[in-house]
Amino acid sequence: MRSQIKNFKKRTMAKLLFGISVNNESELKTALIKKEIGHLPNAEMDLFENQFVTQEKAKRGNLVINELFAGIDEEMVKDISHN
Amino acid sequence: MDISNLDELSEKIKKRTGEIENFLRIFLENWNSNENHVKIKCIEDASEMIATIYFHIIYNNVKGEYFKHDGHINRYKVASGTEIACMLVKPLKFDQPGYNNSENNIAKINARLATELAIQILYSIHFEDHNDYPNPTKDKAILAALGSHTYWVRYFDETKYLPVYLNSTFWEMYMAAITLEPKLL
Repeated sequence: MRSQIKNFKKRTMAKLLFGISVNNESELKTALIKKEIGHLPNAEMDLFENQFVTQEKAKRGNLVINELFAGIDEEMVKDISHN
Repeated sequence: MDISNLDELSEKIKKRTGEIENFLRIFLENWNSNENHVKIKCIEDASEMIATIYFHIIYNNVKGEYFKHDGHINRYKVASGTEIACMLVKPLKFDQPGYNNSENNIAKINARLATELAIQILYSIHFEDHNDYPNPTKDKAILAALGSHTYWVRYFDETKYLPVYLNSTFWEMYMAAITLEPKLL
């Protein structure tokens, strides 16, 4: 059952990300080769993994951004309330 | 990353989901704790949706550039892609009687969140110490640029194109501007 769920997730992911329908990992590999897709950009600096993000950073970031956006937020809340 | 290994991709999405979840939770708590703000709520599984769509955007929009260079995209494109993914999901809704969940209003509050996610990612990567986070609240040019950017994020037409590169140049210039030495400003 667990492997069925895992396979379902993989099929869903393949469909969502790459627009291809596959039944198993073997079919997926064949489809990717046919589409000449080999790799996904290594976009991922794993923020937590590399300890870029800590709770302190996230909280401090939120405070700083709230101050930056104080004027914009005030205007937006007024604007929304008039709609 | 080898995409024939979907387990690895799944793990990446899981990690990114956790990161976004963290920023989103803090944003919601603080926004709703301000008595002057209209109360908001978040749809279920928002972080996972943003993370998955983020990968989709990066794959489909940044792939060409990837093959030209060293296999890494820079932090500005990570921020840009996350911001655009957030606007595709639009996870926030108003949770207070009398406030209209119109498309226009929803775009406004979600653009605010999307911009916050981008800044949080950039600051987290750029500054080792959170005490070094710049706070240029007196710099009118930067505030005006942020205001214009937020307005643009609200209304860009995601059905026509997803401007990952264009958006990343804004963040690159923003980070350059806020980290300039005062004497150069």
